[in-house]
Amino acid sequence: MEILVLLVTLALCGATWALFRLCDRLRGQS
Amino acid sequence: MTGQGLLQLALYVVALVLLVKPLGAYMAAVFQGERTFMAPLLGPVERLIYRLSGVDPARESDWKPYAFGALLVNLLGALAVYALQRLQGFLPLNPQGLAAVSPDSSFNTAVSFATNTNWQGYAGEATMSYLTQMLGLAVQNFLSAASGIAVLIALTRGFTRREAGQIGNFWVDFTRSTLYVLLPLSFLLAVVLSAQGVVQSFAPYQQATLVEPVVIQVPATNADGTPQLDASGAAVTKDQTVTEQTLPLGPAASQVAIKQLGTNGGGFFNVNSAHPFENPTPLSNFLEMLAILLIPAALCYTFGSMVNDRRQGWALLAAMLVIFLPLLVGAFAAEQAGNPRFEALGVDQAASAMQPGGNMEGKETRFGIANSALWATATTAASNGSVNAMHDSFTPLGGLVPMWLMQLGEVVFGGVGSGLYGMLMFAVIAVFIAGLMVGRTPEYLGKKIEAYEVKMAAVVLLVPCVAVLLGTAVAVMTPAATTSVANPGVHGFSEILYAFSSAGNNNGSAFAGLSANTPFYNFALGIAMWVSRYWLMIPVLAIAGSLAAKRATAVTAGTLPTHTPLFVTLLVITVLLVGALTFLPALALGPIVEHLQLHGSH
Repeated sequence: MEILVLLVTLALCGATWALFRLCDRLRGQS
Repeated sequence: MTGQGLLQLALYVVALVLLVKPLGAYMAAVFQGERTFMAPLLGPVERLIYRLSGVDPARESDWKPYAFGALLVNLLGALAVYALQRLQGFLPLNPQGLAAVSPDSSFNTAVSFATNTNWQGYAGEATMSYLTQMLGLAVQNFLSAASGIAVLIALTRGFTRREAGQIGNFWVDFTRSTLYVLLPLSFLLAVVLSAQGVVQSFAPYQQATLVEPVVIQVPATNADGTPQLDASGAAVTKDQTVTEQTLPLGPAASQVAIKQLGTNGGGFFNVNSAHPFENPTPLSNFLEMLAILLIPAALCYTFGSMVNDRRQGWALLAAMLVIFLPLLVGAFAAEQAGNPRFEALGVDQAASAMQPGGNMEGKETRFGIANSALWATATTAASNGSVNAMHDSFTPLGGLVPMWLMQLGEVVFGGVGSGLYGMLMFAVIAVFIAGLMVGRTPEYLGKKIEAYEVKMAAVVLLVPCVAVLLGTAVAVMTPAATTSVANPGVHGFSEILYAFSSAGNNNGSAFAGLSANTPFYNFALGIAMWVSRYWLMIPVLAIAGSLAAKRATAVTAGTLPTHTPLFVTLLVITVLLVGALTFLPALALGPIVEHLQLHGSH
């Protein structure tokens, strides 16, 4: 279960980072 | 509805509105770096914090480092809460010798408190050591609330700055929120609450002899500890006479104060503010309710002050009140009307000098109908989530009100900071719609609202909706989730919808009736809480950065004024339409059907 917690947390961090980059990129295009 | 009840609601609203200006003006001074009456006491502490942490308060950043700071402090907070729960068995201040919390529950609680949601799948007094409550949960109550306020202040600077790259220093806004706003108010409230009888102690739980022993039914077990079953396979029970009860204690007053003021809501004890050690008197109840909406309401005034047009702040507060007040009265009326099935049985549900009348199931007799309905409405209008009555026991329409308030996106007051930045996103959409109607580039507070801002605002509005509806849909199709429902059928659907509405909007209140401390719900609700907090913060800060870089637009005859009743109406309609169109089908499957079943002839 600890491994699952780690994987879910890493996935959430990764997705959040991707949104961060997307917001930045969209701003560059506007 | 009783006149006395309505009078109590009116007293609450008047007290709240009277406090908006003094607190709002104080917070505006704090965040604009002006000297306040707290400066002689807290100024040296603030400077010491910056020196120790190596922060240069004069150094500002654009939105990216600002967002990175907010995300980092929240991530570290979540990790700390997770570690404390897992290691509490080896740590001090654990007089009951409580064991480590399971990994999935620890994950859920860590995310819950870092995101200002405070959804609780656990029972505080049976799960968390005093150290975990104090050092983990109470600290996150401060830090998550301060993060929300900081993001709002950054967005406000986005509107006020002209052709600027910077939106502020996250660490400064974060420190000032905690030090000048949350800590002093929490200290004051904690002292008053402990004077009212809220416990604040490190002593172990106490055993008390019952004045009147009670007989309860407990499962009978075989010699090997397995449950005894009868011929049909049903569990056999036996009578057990209880003569003693355990009185849980702990440092509750200090945690209750910030859980209310920071719109956190996580109770020290399992039944939250329905517990007499957390909320013992009508006065403590009134103060705790006032604390729920105090900062979110006052931040409207702070916003108006900081954008140099206080009418803008009052307009936003008016929009919140226009939605809040009818729903408050609606919840009160639904609960006071009681249960029609009881009427058929000849049960007296009329209010009198001897009883509050109405639907008293799940409510504390010392709070009655009006104060239970008021708390339920305030706690879900704000993203607080604490309860003084069990929302699961509300009438279908009474329960629909708190559920829909959460589904509106927690913008009717909402969380400290997050509620107002959510409402400002609706304002961006409202001026965009108005711009479409007249064929003019929309503006808000002198800044042109262009494609980028509208896209980001749409993300902010849509993420919680997706988290709620997708989470609910997955849950009702998953056996691991449906087995947690204690009331199969329409009410069970409401329980699942409520849980995801609560997590997906960072509220944290529970409908009860749902055994949510399972791996499925701990992960699913944890993910919903995470995305609906951080996936909103990032686009909001991106908008702040975009707006700050723009030049100011001159006000002309064609500019839509955003402080008028017309704009308030437009904003309210935008919020309600988004909420209605998104969630009405789901509500129709839950509380609306339940209401029709209750009042139907069959």
